[in-house]
Amino acid sequence: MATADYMLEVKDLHATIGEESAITQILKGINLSVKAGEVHAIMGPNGSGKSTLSKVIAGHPDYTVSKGVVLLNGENILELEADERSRKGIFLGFQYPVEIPGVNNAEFLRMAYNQKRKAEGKEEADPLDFEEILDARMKILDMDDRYKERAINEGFSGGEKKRNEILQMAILDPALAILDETDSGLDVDALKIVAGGINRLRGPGKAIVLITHYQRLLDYVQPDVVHVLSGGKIVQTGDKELALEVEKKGYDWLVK
Amino acid sequence: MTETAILNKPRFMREEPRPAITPAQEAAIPLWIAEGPAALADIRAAAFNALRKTGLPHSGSEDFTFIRVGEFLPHLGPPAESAPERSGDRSPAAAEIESQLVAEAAEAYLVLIDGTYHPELSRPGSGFRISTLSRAELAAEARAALALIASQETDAVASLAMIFSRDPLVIQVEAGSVPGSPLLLLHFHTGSGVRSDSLIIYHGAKLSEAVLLVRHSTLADSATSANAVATGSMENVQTVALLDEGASLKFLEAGASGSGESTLIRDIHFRKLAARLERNSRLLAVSAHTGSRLTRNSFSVDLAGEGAEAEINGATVLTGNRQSHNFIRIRHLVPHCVSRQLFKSVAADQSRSSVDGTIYVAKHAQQTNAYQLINNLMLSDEARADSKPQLLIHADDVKCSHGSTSGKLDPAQQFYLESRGLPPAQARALLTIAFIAEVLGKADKKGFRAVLDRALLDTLKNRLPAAAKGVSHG
Ligand SMILES: Nc1ncnc2c1ncn2[C@@H]1O[C@H](COP(=O)(O)OP(=O)(O)OP(=O)(O)O)[C@@H](O)[C@H]1O
Ligand SMILES: [Mg+2]
Repeated sequence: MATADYMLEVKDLHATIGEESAITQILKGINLSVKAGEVHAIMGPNGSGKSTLSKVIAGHPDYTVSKGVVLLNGENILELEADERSRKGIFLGFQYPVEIPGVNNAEFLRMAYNQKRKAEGKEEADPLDFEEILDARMKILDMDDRYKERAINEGFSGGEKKRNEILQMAILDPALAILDETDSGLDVDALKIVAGGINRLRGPGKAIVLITHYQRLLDYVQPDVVHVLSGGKIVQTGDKELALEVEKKGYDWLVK
Repeated sequence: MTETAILNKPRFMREEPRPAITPAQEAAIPLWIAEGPAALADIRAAAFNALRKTGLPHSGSEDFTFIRVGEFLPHLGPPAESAPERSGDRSPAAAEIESQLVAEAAEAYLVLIDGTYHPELSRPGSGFRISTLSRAELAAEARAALALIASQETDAVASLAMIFSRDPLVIQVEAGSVPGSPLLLLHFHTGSGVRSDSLIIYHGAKLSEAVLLVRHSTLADSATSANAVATGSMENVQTVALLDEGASLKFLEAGASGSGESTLIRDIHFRKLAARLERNSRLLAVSAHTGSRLTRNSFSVDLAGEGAEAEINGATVLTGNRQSHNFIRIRHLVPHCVSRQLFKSVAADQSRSSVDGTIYVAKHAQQTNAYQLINNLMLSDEARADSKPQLLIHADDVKCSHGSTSGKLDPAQQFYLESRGLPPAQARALLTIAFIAEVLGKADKKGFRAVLDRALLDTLKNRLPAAAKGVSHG
């Protein structure tokens, strides 16, 4: 099969954290291929390496890739810095978004948006035009105007932080979105809104990877493929039935 | 000795031992007091007594731990020509005053030249009673509090301000009065190559509420400027705030105007806010500076009545070989008081900053709540930032915390911004600006905040990579 059929290809990915005497191997040979238009779900026990995988793909400097490649539309991205990967269309919705006091949320979104436009060879957006785009996205996510005044995630509740991640995704309109437990900490109403935001991104040119522990998100965003990650490896791949099975039986039957 | 030679001198190197005060001072000061206005004599005498006890600063002075005393000692002693009215040599032109005004206080500003109040250039606004100490009707309690502060002073430079300030400006707000607008104090310094001493007294009577905005600027091209360039000058400004029961004061100070690199660097700035807070009174201070050859900001707050609250904030952005040293003494003298301190500095190039802050809790000051945080950010390996947070607690039922951090930006925050497509330089600029903006945000008067933004954040942006240019701050 032609490589270019895949938006994301992870091949035999090994990654470690730490230096010299304290190196820990976390990813131990991950293989994952996601086509444009697909939604994949990754499930797996705590500590299995799900967040690590997402951060390695996004270019987190704490991790060292000891083996393997990550291709985006056929191009190896492992040599790129995090910001370059972002501008190529990778978006990571963090499991634990950090608070950044003193940096205004709306201002930050505009800067990120303009960086993306610059990378696409477009002009910076007029502040008023951007405001319109922002307002429209915020309305869909049922976020009120206060979010614009506030510093990034500062004093946000868990659910508000996750909604803010989806807002950023909606503004940046990435080719590949990896959402790390974006459903955790949301009540049912918020979950529906966030799922709506994810479904809006879904489309022929887009790929989405959902990391989750729960079936309930997958009720709203139906995955094409479900993987189970355990001990730094993908131990099972199936269709959406696999998620239901995991919810019923837990992981023990998959983990030797 | 060249300037670099001074900077490279090892810290804590012993200076020559110096006499407490010089015989010339011993002789000159009583004369100065005797010849001055009678209404000032008691305060000046109290300050003189304190000075004799303390003596002039020396290298072992606890009040000057991070400062090389030799850098300013030659400026102490009686001001060169104490007798004749020196100020007024050079007055600010209308346009110069205009350029210093801020929207909140366009109709309420006082002009001081080298510490001397000039009513003919001022517009006192409404709600503030303005006079000078020689003629002010200052309530007996306020006068007593002022004398107490003068007599307990352990900082020789502050004592000198009290002794030599010509006729201190007195600002009073009557009981229950809430002036409709802030009052802006415009300090113009002629930079005439010598020391100028000034004392400003604020008295907020019971349940009054007011905002003081303070700006400093140096008048360019005074007749003596050639001399001034050679020797530099020393401005010594002390503000005493006396807050009666339930009174509230916001004191917002901008160290210098603009982000000018040239004129102010040669000068030595000593600024002090000494406050005494009675029952249920509140003080919020924000002081923002870009330093100078030597800047020392001192805060001394006595929480003297139960339920009093003081919040002291400092922000410093330093470039070149500028220095700024903060010195804070908060004294919890009675139970149930709250104090909070937040000091942040960004040091670039070869600049030096320090924060020396002590919270003292007296034996009976139970239920004290005191908090102090010092954060330093270094933009270069040659910059230096020292912190000395200290708790001296003699009561047993208190909640006190202090901490200091020094170093680089938070890597998790940086990764977050970069993961959204911001180039590393832009992410760093944004975080550096946010670091300082947190303190500036406490100055919640829009026009004045803009002054602080221009002074500190623009200085910072000039220092950061081009990526920072697009960074705004809100
Ligand atoms: N700095 C570190 N040093 C050493 N080990 C680490 C470090 N950070 C994470 N780990 C380990 O790496 C493993 C994978 O962590 P990761 O966060 O990727 O798991 P996860 O699958 O996302 O778990 P969860 O479901 O709880 O979010 C864990 O065992 C964790 O303890
Ligand atoms: Mg995780």
